[in-house]
Amino acid sequence: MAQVLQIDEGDAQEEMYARNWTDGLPVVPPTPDRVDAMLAGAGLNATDAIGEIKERARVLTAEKAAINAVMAGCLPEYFPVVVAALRAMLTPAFNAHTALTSTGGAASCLVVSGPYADEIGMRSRLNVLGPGNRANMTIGRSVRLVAANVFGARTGEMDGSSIGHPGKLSMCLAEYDPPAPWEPLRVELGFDRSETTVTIMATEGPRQVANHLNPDPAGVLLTFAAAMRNPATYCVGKGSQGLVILGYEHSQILHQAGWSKQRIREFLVEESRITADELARWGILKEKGSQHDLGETHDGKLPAIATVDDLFVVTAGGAGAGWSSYIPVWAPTLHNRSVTVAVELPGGSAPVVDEAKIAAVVAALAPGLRSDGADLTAKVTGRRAIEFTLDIPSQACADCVMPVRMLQPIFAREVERILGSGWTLKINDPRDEAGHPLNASRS
Amino acid sequence: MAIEVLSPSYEGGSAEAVAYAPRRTFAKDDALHLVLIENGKPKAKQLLQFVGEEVQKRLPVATIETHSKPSAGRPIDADIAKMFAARAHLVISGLGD
Repeated sequence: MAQVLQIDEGDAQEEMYARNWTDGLPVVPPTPDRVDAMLAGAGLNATDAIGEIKERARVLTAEKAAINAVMAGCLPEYFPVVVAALRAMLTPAFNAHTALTSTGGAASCLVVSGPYADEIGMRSRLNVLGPGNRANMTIGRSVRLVAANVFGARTGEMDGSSIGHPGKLSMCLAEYDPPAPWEPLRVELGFDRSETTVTIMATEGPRQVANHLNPDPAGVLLTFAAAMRNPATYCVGKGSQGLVILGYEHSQILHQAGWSKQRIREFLVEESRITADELARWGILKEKGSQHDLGETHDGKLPAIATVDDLFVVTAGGAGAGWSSYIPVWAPTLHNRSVTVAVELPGGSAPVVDEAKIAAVVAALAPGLRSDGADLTAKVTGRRAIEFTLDIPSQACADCVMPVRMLQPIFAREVERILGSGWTLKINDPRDEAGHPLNASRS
Repeated sequence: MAIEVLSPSYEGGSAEAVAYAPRRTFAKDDALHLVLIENGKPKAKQLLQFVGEEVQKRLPVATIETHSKPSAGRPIDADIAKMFAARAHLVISGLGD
């Protein structure tokens, strides 16, 4: 169990700075009650193991993860996402030992895909990579604090970043589910649509991609390709993974033109290839006889992205003039791969629900019933499950109220409009109860 | 007022010490086998081979074997390390960028 320290409340920040616990910004003091609440948010015990970095012979416990999440400013309902991100970071394919240490200065970029992101208020639209959203900022910050405090990824210790970038403080976004037939990232990676996943990628800083005037899909994508094949990016010519964030206008242009996400990936992977001569034109010499010696290719072109499956395309960001983003992974695929882990929510815990939204659903549906003298209540009964109960006080009114089979599509439409997609709903109708006077009257 | 806080830092024990391979004694006229383990970075092999040649001028090194790691970002394979420990008299490794 973690060491308990007594510190003066008034000096808490300075004390935590002095102990080198922070990332340079103030942190929330990790008091035992806050840490307990954080653990409860994911239904974990303090001693539960989250993962390890074998090369450092260090195991991460749920307690240490929770302490750092408290310090980052997380709410307990964010903690299941933090835990999934940490499990992904500590999967061997991610190679955290190197990704957290390299001179290349990678951030642990998190993409959260799924309905739980919306439930905890993550941002997926305007300013999606910018500041201002507590969930986005503190979930990403938690992962970095764990890297520093538990695994020693600090400047002067095991973080050898030559330059680094601001995303190392926190780099976390939610995907905005794309319009059909495009599938969200989690579905493309083999998870169920109802699940929420966290994908971790060790990345350089994001490159904003601007194309405001070109309505042609290929024209838009060529601008991405230009960003992806920039010779100054370390992995260009070596083959890495990469993340494309399609902003609103660009995704609209591509979607309306009938491009599939697979076709987008294939186009970008091909158009971002580059010749050794082009690299040399901008001062980059091709590696020979080293780990990155790719040899000769059939057409002399070298990859920016290793394979079509190594390019991740998500939709996020708000409407504007035509902005998107490309985020390159910091190292070729032989050193590091992205990892995706499903968020596990504590069994039986109360779902996170915005009560105001539930009230809004009732407010939208009840007037039609009240005009017939009936009324409506609603309660959330599980993860994305809502139960309505009709209150029909008089037998005379019973015939005025539409039957459940007719109410069902109306209720479903309002639930989706206000609460979002993926909800199951049940309508309790007293007229259906055996022995109920209203039921008897209808038989 | 004093408050209690929990330490966010790693508190487990340090990694178990790894035993060195048995040291071998050798005579001046022994034919030694030197293994160079290069990490795959550009020019790493050339640098270590230069060091190996300088060692050869000072010690009775008969053979030099160079092993190139496929990734600088991952440790050497444990079985390969065991093999070198068994057959090498000397091993030189340890490179950064």
